Amino acid sequence: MVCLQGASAIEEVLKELQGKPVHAFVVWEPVLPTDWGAPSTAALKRISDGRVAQYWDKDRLVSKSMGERDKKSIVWDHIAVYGPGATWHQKTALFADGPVIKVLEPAREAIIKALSVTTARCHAFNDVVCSRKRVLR
Amino acid sequence: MTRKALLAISAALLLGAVIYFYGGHTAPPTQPALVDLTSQTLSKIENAFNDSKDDVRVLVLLSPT
Repeated sequence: MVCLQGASAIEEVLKELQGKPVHAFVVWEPVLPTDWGAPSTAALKRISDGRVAQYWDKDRLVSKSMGERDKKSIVWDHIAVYGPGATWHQKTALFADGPVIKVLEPAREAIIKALSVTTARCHAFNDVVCSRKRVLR
Repeated sequence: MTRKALLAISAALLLGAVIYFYGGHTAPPTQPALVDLTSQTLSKIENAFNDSKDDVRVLVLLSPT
């Protein structure tokens, strides 16, 4: 249930940042004995923002790629914030911690800080990509 | 309250919980469909993450129950 509360809390943060260039990747993975299968429609609905993509990772491949070696090192109930430029294989998080519900405030601050850098870059360089994105949005 | 009524209420609550935690796997209509990640499809999340590299991204790992 704590994880589901974390999902709802993330939805609140995204709501607060409506219209901002933030994308969320939500990876659901089996950790608890009750995690028999993919997340239910009700669980998925807890994060309904259109900038979110949700994944069911039954083999915990993402957790393993982030350092899981045994049961104690499973990466779950975890939130990480990445700034512009970070790629999947060369990603250094601006913020990464858990449990989600407990670290939501610093995570939110990291998102806002990263957004201010993005906006400043757009203004400073009159960035063509930023301008095009504004038109598309 | 009779024992029968208590049993009926318990059964209804249990059924409700089962439906809530395990019923369907449909993502909200504003989002792409839920993706099953396997070693063959892991690139889907990698590509989606990299495709929006000009933006701020949040990666969240959660358990479904």
